[in-house]
Amino acid sequence: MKKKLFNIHKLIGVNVILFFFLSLFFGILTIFQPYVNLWEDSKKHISHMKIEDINLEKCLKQVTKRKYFGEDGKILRNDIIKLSFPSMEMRANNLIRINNRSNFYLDPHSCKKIKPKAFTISLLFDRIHTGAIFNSIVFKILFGFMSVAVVFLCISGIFMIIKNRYRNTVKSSKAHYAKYHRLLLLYTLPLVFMFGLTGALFNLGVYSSPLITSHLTNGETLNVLKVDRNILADPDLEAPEPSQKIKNISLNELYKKAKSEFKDIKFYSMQLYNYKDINAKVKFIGFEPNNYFISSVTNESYIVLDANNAQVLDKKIADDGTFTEKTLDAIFYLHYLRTFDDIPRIIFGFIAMTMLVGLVYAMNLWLSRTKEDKFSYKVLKPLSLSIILGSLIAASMMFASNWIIPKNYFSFVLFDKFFFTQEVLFYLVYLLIFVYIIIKKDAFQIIKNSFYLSSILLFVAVLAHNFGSEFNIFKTYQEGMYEIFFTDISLAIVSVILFFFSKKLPKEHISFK
Amino acid sequence: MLVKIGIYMILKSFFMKDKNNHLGVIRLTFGILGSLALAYLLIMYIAKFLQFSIFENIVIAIILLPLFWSLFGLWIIMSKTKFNSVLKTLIPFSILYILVFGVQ
Repeated sequence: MKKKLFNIHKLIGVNVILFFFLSLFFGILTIFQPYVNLWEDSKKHISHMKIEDINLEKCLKQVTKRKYFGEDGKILRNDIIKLSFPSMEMRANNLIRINNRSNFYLDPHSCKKIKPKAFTISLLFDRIHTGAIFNSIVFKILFGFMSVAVVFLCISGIFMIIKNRYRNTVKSSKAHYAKYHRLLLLYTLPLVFMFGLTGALFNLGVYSSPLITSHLTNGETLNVLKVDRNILADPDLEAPEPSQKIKNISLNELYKKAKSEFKDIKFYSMQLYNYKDINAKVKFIGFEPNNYFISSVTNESYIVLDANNAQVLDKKIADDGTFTEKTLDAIFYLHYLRTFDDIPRIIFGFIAMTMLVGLVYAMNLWLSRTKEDKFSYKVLKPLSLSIILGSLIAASMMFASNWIIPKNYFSFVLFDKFFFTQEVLFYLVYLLIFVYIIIKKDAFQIIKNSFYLSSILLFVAVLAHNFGSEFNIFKTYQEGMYEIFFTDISLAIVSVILFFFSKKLPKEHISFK
Repeated sequence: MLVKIGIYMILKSFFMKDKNNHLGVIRLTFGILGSLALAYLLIMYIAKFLQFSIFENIVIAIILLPLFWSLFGLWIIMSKTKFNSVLKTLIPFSILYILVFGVQ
C-alpha cells in the first residue's frame, strides 16, 4: 500500500521533473525581469523619473502627429490613446509605451520616440517559463499537464510523509538527497501547490473549458473567451465621434487630481478617450501597494475623470472588487509578483531557489537509486544533466552574448526565414552540452566544467557591459541608475559564487557515474 | 485447458489483491483518464451552484479542476484490486453524470 504510493509519486515525478525544472529556473530569472530588462538595452539606461515630472502633453504630440493604420486598413483614431507609464513593478520597464500602437516607445525625459531592441532576453526567459519553447503550442500544453502533475505530486507527497514516518538521520549521500528533497519541498509546499494550480489555469484553462462552457451557456458557444467577461479584462469606455475641439485641462494636473482621490496608489496605465474634445475622458489604472493580496493584476483600481472639468465620473478601489476578483487576485498575487518591491522580490527569489535545490536533489535521488542498465536510466541521465546544466550555461550565455554581439548581427536570414542570433544561440547551447555529455561520460567532471564555464560567461557579461557599452558601473551609479548598477554587481557576485562552487564541489556526493 | 487457465489467471489478477507493487495498465488508465472525467463532472456540478456570472463560474471551476483531478487520481490508484479501481471510476461517474445531465 505504501509502496504503491511511492511508485506513483516516482513515476509521475520522473516524467515531469525536467519540465518543472525548466519552468522554475526561468521563473526565477523572470522574478528579476525588471532589472534584466533595463540592463540589456542601452536605450533603457536612463535614470528613474517620477510620473509627475513627465511632460505628458509633449509626449502625446509624438503620437498625434503620426498616422497609423489598423488591421482593417482604416486610419486609427488619434484621440484614443492607451499608454503605460514607466512602471518598474507592473510593466518591468522605464519607458513610456503606447499600447494601441505597435512597438511605440517614448523616452520619458526627452519625449522622443525610441526603438528598443527587438529581441530581449528577459522576454525569452519569460517565454521559456510559460512553456513557449520553440514558440510551439505543444510545449505549452505539456507545461500545463506538468502543473497538474505538480498538484498531484504535492498531495501524494503529503500522504507519503503522513503514512511513513521518515527519520532525518543521514548516513549516505542517497539519504542526504532524500532528506533534503523532502524537507525543502515540504517547507515550500504551499507555494509549489499554488504554482501548480495557477500554472494549469494559464496553460490549460482555455483548452479544458469547452465542455463546461457549452453546458453552462446551454450550447451557445464552446469558446470561453466569447462569454461576456466581467472580470480579468476591463472593457474599453465608450468613445463617441469627435464633435467640438477645445483645450482640456493639462494631463499632469489631472494626474495629480487622480492621485489625490486615493489614499495610496501607484498608477501604471492611462487611457485617453476623445482627447482634446468636448467629451474628453481620462482613465487612470493602478494598484494599491499597501493592500496586500487583493490589489494586483486582476483586481485593479481605477478612476475615470472628465478631462474638461476634472470631475470624477467613475472610481473603483481594490476593496470594491467582486468576490471572484479578490479570490483570483489572492491566488495570483504570489505568482505574478507584479506589485513586489526590490527586497521582497529578492527574498522570493531565494525561496524559489530552495525549491530549485529540492528539485535537483529529487533528480539526483532518482539517478542514484535506479539501476544503471535500465533503459530509462540510459535516456534520462544525459537528458537531465544536459537540461539542468544547459539551463545554467544557456542563461549565462544570454547575458554574455548580449553585449558582445555587434549590432548588425543581432538577427540574420537563413533559407528565407528570420532568426534572432541570441535565440538560436540559446537552443544551440543545450545541443552542444548534450553532445559533450554523450562524449565525456564522467558526470563529476562535466558538472565541474559547466560551473566553470557559466561563471566565466557571467564575468564576461559584466566586463562586456562595462567596456563594450558607454556605461560602466561608476557612471551608472553617478547618474542614478541603481537598478543597472546592482545588476552588474550581482552578476559578478553570482559568477564568483559559481566559481567557488565548482572548485569545492564534493566528489563523494556525485554517486552516479 | 490453456484458455481456461488463462481466463482464470486474468480474473484472479483482476479481482484478487496484488502481491507485488506494480501499478499496472488498468490502474494507470483509470487513475489518469477516469479521474479526469470524474473531476470534470464534479466541477460542472459545482459550477451549477455558484451564484456569480457565467464567466466567473467557469473560471472558478477550471481553477478547481487540477485539485479534483489529482485527488480522484490518487484515490483510484491506491485501490487494492484492479476491479476496485474500475468500480471506483464507474460508480461515481454514473452518479455524477445523472446529477449533472439528469435522467432522460
